[in-house]
Amino acid sequence: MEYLLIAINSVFIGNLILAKFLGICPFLGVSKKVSTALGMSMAVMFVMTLAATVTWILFHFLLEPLNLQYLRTIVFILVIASLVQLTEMAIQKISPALYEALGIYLPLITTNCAILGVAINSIEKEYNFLGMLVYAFFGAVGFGLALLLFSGIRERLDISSVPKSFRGAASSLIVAGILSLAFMGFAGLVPG
Amino acid sequence: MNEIIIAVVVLAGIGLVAGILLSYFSKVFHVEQDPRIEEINENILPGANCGACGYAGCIDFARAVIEAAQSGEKLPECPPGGPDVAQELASFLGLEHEGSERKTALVKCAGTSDRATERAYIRSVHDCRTAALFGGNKECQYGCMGYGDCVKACPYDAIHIYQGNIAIVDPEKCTACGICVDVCPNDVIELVPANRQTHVLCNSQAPTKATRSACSVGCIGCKLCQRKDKDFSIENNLAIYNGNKGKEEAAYACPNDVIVNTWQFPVVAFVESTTAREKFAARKAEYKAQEKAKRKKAAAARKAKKAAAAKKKKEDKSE
Repeated sequence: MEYLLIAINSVFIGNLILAKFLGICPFLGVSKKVSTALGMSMAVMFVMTLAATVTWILFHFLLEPLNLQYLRTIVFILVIASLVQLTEMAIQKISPALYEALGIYLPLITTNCAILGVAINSIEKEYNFLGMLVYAFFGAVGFGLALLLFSGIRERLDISSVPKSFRGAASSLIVAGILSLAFMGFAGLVPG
Repeated sequence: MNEIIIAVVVLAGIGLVAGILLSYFSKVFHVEQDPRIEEINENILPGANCGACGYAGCIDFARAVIEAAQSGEKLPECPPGGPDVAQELASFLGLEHEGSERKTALVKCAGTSDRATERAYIRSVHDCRTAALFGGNKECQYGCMGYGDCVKACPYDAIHIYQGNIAIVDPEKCTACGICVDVCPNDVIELVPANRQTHVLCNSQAPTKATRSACSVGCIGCKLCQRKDKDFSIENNLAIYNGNKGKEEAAYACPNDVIVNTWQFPVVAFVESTTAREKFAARKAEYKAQEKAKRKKAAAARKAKKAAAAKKKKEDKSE
């Protein structure tokens, strides 16, 4: 039950993009087509779970015993960056098919703040290992959901007649704002 | 002071470990790849990763180039690089440069409003992509809807909507930039070699029965053209022509008059003008009559031969 709450919380109420405003760059950057949005969310799902796991272990078994909690941001950045590089290499060797699918998106995620945000948040919220896993995975699901919704809207927006001054980025940002407002409606879904 | 030293040591340690791991695993997970790929990517290609070639970035394109060179196929083209890059690639790989083939766009549809069944009249919609969201205006989901998104998109004024709501490309003006191909929601426009003189004017991949009820000039995938000319192939209930100049017989064999030979009729005339269609029908009838006569003659000859053989046998017996 506790994990279900974490899942719902991270998909809807605390949606990374629409409620926490993390990872806005890919949200606006790779949301022109549904297919690329799907590829990106798959890659994020993969990296986010992995990064949160590794940083959680590192934090609890290295930084905490040494009383170095304040180093977490810089350490996490370092670890996530090398981790993504490593997985990219590993995937290329082990599964070329997966590399084809995720390949171009993986390096993009290295410096994604949503990844770092989840890693830090799962520490901050003092989740246990399983809780962190659920939080990270469903955080990525929420990320994917927002990205897919937005890219679907943008595909339609491209073919509708928008006043000239609102075309492109302007209407995209307005749509993003409205979408975020809609997600704010989930705020009271789970008490606490 | 101590704390600072510990922090620095830990951070440096993690960095060192990560670095060592990375360099170690880059050896372990090293994927053998042609060194030429890197060289092509860095020295020859524009390096903009624009994706205009259809590959995901320049490095992917370079990989495809090497593959094509090894299997002896035609090299893929880099549209922004143009002939210069193509020339450089060919000389780098030690291949003859044939000069990239000029292409032209072709709207693979002849389903004018009197030939194709209308599915719905979509009011207040004035472009194909919106109409496609509602399932299009025709029974056929593959054909030209005729709202002219491609006309608006074409920077060279090479496409126009003709009578009966069909877009037709003017091959003289077309530069094969491919913008119309991207814009068309039904993927009915294709880039074909400019010197190709025979075209299949249909894009319907629907089963025979559906195509037949949707359009009077649809390809039903009957393979009759393939019997007359081996350059035709049938994929997904649709004939595809791969040669340069097809045999006339193939066009006459087609039950729905889908194939056009441009040395007889330009595409525009074949799609739009009824007189051209009538002329074609007359020639087809003439050809069919000739064929029939030929077949009759052959049958008669066969019969005579048989009779002669029987007679000879009889004679042999009586002797």
